[in-house]
Amino acid sequence: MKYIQYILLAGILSSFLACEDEFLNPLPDSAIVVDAFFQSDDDVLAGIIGVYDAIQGVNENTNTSLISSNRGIQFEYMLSEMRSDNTRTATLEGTKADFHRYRVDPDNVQSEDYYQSMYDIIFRANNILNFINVADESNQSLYAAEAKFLRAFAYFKLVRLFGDVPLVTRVVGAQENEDLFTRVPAEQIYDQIVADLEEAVDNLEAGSKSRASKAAAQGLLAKVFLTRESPNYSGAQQLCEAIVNSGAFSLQENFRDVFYEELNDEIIFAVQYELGNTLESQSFSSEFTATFRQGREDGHNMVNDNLIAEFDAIGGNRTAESYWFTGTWYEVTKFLPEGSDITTTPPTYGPSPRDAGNDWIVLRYADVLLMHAEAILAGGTETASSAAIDSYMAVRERAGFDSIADRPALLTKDALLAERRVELAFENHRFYDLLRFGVADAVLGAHAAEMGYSSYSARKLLLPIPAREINLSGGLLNQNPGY
Amino acid sequence: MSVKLTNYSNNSIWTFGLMILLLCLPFLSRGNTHLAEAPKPITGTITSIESGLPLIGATITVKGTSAGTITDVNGNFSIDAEEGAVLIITYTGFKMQEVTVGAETVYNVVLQPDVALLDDVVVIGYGTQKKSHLTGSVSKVENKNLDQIAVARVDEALIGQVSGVNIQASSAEAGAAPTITIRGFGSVNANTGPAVIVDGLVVDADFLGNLDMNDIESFEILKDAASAAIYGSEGSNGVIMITTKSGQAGKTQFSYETYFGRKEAFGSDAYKKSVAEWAAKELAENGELSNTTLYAQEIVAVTGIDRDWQDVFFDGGNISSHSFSARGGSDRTTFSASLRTLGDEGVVITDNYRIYAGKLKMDTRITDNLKFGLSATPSYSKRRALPTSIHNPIRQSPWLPIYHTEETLQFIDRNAYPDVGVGDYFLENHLINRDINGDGSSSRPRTSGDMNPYAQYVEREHYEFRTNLLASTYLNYEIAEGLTARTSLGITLENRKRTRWNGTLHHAQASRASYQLQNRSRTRLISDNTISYNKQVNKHEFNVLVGATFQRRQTENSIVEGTGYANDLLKNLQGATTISEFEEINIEKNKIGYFGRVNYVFDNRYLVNASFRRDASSVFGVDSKWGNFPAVSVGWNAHNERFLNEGDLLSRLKFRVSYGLTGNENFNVGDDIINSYPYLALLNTSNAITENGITPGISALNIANTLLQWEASREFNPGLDFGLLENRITGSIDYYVRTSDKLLLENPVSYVTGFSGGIVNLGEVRNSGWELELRTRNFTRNKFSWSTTLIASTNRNELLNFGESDGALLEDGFGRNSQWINSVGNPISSFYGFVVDEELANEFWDSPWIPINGTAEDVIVKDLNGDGLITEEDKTILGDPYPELIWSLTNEFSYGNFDFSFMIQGSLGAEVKNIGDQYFETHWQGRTSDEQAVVDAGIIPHVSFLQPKVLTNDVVQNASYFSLRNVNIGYNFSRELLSRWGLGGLRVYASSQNLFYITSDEYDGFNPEFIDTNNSPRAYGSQRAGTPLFRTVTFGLNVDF
Amino acid sequence: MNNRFNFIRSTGQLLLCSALVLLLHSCHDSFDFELPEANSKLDTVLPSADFSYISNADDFTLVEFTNLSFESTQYQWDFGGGNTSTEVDPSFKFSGEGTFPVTLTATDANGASDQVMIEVVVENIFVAITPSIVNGDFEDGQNDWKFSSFTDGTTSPFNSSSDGSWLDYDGADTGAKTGGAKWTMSTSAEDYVSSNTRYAYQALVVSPNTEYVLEYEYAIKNDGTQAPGDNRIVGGIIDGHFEDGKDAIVSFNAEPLLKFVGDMDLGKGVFTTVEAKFTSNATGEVAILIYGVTDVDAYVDNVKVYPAE
Repeated sequence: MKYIQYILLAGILSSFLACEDEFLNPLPDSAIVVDAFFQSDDDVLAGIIGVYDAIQGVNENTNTSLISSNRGIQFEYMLSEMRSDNTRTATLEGTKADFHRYRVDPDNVQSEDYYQSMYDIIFRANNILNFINVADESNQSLYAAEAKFLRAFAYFKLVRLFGDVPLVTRVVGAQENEDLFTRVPAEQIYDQIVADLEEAVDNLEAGSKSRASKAAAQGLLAKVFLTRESPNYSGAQQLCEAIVNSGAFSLQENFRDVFYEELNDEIIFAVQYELGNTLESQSFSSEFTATFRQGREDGHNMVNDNLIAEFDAIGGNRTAESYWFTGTWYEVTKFLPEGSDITTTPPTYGPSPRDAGNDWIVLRYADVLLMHAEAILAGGTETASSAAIDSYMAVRERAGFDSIADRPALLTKDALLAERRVELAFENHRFYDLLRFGVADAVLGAHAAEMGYSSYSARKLLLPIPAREINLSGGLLNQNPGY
Repeated sequence: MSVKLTNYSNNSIWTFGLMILLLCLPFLSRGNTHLAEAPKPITGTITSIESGLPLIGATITVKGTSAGTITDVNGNFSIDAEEGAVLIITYTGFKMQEVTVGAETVYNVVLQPDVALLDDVVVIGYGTQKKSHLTGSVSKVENKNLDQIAVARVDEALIGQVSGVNIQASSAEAGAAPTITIRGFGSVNANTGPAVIVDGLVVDADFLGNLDMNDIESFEILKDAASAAIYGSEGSNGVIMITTKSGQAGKTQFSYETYFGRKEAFGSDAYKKSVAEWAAKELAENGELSNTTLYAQEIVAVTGIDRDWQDVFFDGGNISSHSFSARGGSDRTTFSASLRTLGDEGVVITDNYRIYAGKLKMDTRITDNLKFGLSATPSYSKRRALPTSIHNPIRQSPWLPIYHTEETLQFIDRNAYPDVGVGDYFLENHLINRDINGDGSSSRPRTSGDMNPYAQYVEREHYEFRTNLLASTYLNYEIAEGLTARTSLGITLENRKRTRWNGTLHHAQASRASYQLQNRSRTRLISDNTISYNKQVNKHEFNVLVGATFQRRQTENSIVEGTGYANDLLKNLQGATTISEFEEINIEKNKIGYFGRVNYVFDNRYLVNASFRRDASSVFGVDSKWGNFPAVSVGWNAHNERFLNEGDLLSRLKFRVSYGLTGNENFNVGDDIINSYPYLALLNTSNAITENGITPGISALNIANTLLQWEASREFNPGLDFGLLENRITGSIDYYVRTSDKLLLENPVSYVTGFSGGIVNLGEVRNSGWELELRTRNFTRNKFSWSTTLIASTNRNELLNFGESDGALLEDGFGRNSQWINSVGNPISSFYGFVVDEELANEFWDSPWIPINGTAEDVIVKDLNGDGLITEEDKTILGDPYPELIWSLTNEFSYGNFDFSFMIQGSLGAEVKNIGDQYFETHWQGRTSDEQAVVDAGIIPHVSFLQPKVLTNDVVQNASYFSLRNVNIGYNFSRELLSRWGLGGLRVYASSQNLFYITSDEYDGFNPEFIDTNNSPRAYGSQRAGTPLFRTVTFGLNVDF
Repeated sequence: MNNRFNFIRSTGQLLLCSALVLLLHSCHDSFDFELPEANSKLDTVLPSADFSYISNADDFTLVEFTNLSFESTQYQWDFGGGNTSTEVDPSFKFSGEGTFPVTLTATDANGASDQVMIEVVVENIFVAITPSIVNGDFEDGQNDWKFSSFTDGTTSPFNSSSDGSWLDYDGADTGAKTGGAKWTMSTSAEDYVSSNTRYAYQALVVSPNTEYVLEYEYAIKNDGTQAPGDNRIVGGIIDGHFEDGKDAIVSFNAEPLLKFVGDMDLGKGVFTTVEAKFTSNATGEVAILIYGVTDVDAYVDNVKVYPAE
């Protein structure tokens, strides 16, 4: 009797002590420990896919957490399209309504999120580059090229929206302030982008549209060449011609199919989403609705009148497919959630509009054709080059214009810009086009004056560096002028 | 006096304390007359003032005679004595009392405990201790009438009961947990709640929601580190120890306790809305009404509805509780069993709470020195939670009807909404394209769009089901005289199921219907093993304890979400057509602790207490798992010194000093996996869609910190306990300084790293303050007694070191950019922003009156550095959410069988960031787009002078309040009646909480104590008006038989 | 007696206690947070002046300035020559091309200021159209060089020849002859003009009023007789587009934009490169005209038109 006590105590003690080490170092079963990973080619590939996940971003409708939100490109329309003369928000609620009025604050949540997202892409790309040598010999250069393409993609976005930004091409620790907070001149960042993309062009293969391909790299590089301070027009022209001559891509007969047939012949690179899957779906489709609101907000990307005027003039059959009048607002229809029917009253928006599956088109053939014309125009005000005019007309003919009657003897810069505006409306090109054509200040200044956005000035063409970063930098990081 | 108070400092607390002391200074009542008479039968009851219970076996003798008797089981006695004779009543542990026989024949005498003799026992970590031997700061709260406070949770009943403990009704939802902080926020990212220990077993803090106050004997709160250090890593935020009632040998006592009550919400006048008021304002301002206003008026004219939504949503509710218990046992075995059910409807529509709880506690003596016991506390609760923050539905247009009627149908654009009929929810969007005056503009007052505020609540059902079981057993073996070994095994099981049903009608789009199922199952296994040795050698008392404890905590979390509901028939996954989300996360946290304690007392005068604990936690890095938590404290019972213990004035005087270390292992960075395995570099799946199909991907989850270790707090706590005038005045004064360093915090890092933050040991925060507890027995006469308790504590929170993150700004979780700063020299999470200079004249607003009672979102702010433009430099600290002084004043009266008590409780010096105005005044609608116009008008020098209110002190409001927390008036039926009815005791009472509740004038919201859920300790103290405070009035009945 | 007295006193105390509570709260503003006043802080971030500029698209001498200064409220611009402005983003018309020092002084309300001087370069960055010459190397037939009609003449532009330049169109030496255009006495113009005379014609669109270069190679045999006024290849630019060759020649003879006469007869296969400048007309619609006046065979190849540097 007396000893029960001891036996019991001893029993319990030993039972724990026996396995103390294990007991104090349990392993998670819901996450992977790094040391155990990156052993095989598949592991590296999984890492590459992880970068696409960063671009895809987190659907705000289903994960509203602001703490570690990473919306990827799902917020980009706010930073680009709504800061052009194309669109605005329906109401003035919240910081999302600051973009179209050019009054984005340095602590704007969405702008900050985009900055974060792009660097998340860059980090994931840099990180996987460390493990490339684990992959099969045959795949190593391919994977490296893919990672670098994605890195360049992110930097190209950053440098156009924020100007000089920190440039890191490796995984940097939280303490390496020099690398984290030094703003590198845009030209240097472009050098890196070009280097990465040239490697991508050399090593990537044709084929995929939802992952980096040779054509995607060529197209992106062409746009970089056209965008740089001292553009490389002939280089851009050759790249565009390479894509054209590859014969792998063609314009869709029907403009609508470009957006509602995933990965169609016209798509060169698209970020894909899946309907109804909260983790793999996107929110912008629902945010583009206002009158019969599907999204969280009262409506984004509401079409401005002067864009509608542009459509009336040169939209052709694209007008009907680009937006519709709800009776209250002009709303974008290029990305209506799957199962939508706006012909019924009231319109229906499918089973789960807030978890939309519409892909985000990064690069499509029409864009390349217009870039081809742009390259030949070579910064001039007009060109008679039949090659340029052919590319230009190819896009217009699809829009229902006549190949003879509507063919201009001269292709002017203005006509090309306007054509890009309607063809690529709501696809986040306008703002970058205005910058590239060197008319951003002129056009947006006039637009702001017309709309009464008194906060506008040329300084607002660059977004503010997130206040958070400046705050963390302890004085190393400086803000863009005008903020 | 008031001058003294105006510049707040610790002195003012002193002044405050002293005032009370002086004012409430009681004086002894003496003097009685002598008249000789013949003996006559005298009867009466002897009760204890402490418990109010009858004293069985008290001796009554007539002075100067041999006549004497003792009281029966009901404390009654009868004796013969002539008028003028003096009865002497004695009872062990109580002061002898003399009563002179007068004309009356019935004498009910209330005995005062004799503190010198009686020494109540206090529960401390892994044991008990005589109160007089305490060297740390431990407050004991006995459950006298706490069980008569009509609240759903035991912790809510503790408000104002203990100094240094701040219990905030941080959510007024039925059954929701309050926020408890002991001696301020000692941590930045780690959890700041105290450890909760029930009958010696560590449980999760939310277990407090499962206990029945009727089962609780007492609470002991270990406030200082020295007392808590024996719990090492559990103790850094203080410890609440709960002792539950056990049975007494003898006749089984049955009791039934019940109450019924009504709760009514206090709304906020600041947020009342009406078209009439808004139209009047507009008319006064513009001399005419805008279309939108006319629009609303037209609708009001038809529906007659121009209502404040608060009236709809704050519907009040009933609360009721039934508790039945049986306690008793033989000399070998005692038991205590109880059953309880409580229902609380809450004060907001839809919120509702019901709990069924049971308790069984059994102790048995197997042999003379082997004791065995077990207890089980099962409970089941069902709570319907509010589907969204309350600000959401009640900020809506006053003219908006809930349902359509024949009249309202005429407003509908039939093209857009062909099928809407009578009885359907009325949505603002039904009015689209309605052009009331044919001017082509169909602009309508718009606040809710396509959500009907009422539907938004009633068509969503968010439930929480909890099944909890706390089971424990122990073996206690007395190896030899004073040498005891004890081992106990405790298991806490919790199964929490949360379902969130959003019906097809909660939103205009039926496709928004969704259902989420969350299952969380948690188990906690604890094995405590101790050996203790007590020895008394004439004047020396020793108490030695050694022990080991092992703990395993496992949590299994899973979430499944379904969408694509065609109707509301199946409000669960069965009705779903798509599974849109699924997640499973399992974690495990283990801990080993070895501890020892030596307690030495010499002659009840000199007290020394030293303890040491060594803990290892699985949370920390391989080489940094172990932490040491030593503590030492000394005390001096000065009143036992010969030179002090003469005279009545000073009956108790004890000086205490303690110093100790405690730790913390719990933190929350918003990801359970990182919270549990922060030292491992982890990858999580991050899939992407390629080639139209989902493709598995991975990405880094965290910045691993292989060296992560304990957050350590060290606390210095001098204190003083005193008793004056035979303990008519007793009290204690404590000063504490608690410095926590190596804070576990998520350090924000540059996004360029690919992460937003990493968990580190960084920074140092200090909490210091004074605590005063003063209890006075102002007046005691055989029929009437009155005692007063004053409790006051101050706290100052200061960040001493914050490394890289010093001055880091954080934004709220609402995406409205209001900011906090964590900067050295200031309280952690201070409110930060611009200082308002003046309001912006409404001629500059885009739409001053729309949609409803709007005000400008922009204000003109002050240029703090005078450089002519507003930049980050012009931001400043606007306040902090931590009260400087919390206090309560309790008065208890009893007159015969009646008793009456009330507590006034208050808090001073805290601010709250209430962005409710943002919603109720729909600020964003008023934000001026044309800043330049204001500059051109010469009102401001630069556009930057216009800033949104949410970035200014406009949203920072004084959170001070005081309230009549509790009032309780009761009647205990007399023994005579009871014995006639065969009852042991019968009490009826009425009680009320928050009979009045007074907040600062500048506070607009519903509850200054409310803390919104998406707060983090680093961005703390914000709300969107909060869920409403309420007044409760209850009637209760306690029967013993 | 006593008791009642006590009772009253006690209640008194209670009331006082409560009174105290209220008193304490009545001055709760003492717990209000003290907020700083304007001008209470030191301004640590001082103004810094900077700007960028861009020429107006229509008038390059009109320069639009973008103020990139920090922490400043007032601006003083000095464009030189006593021209100043206090606008935030002024624009200024300079006299013409050249480099002009522009100074910006940025000041804040505390009087702190900073100055920057930037050399503003004003230049015409107009980029002229580079017309593409179709079949400029005469490799695929004659069609691209024909008039659509020719009253009393032929529309055939030249004699096809395989004795063109050894250089290809890009100027690379092919190491062998390439195709080219040829004229003989029978297809010559001017003194030999007949219904058989052949003119090579191609209409171009170029930027108006802009300097261009017409470049081509020619070779003339040096065996045999000379045409009156020497054997020669005439290349030039006609002012405008013409349907009928006859009108074109009239216009060309009357007022050509360019007429270059090449008479280097170095022999067959020995080509001379002509680079002749001309200024385009107001419409930008011009045409190339090439013909020969020769007794012996003459050759032309690699015709180009591009903007003059």
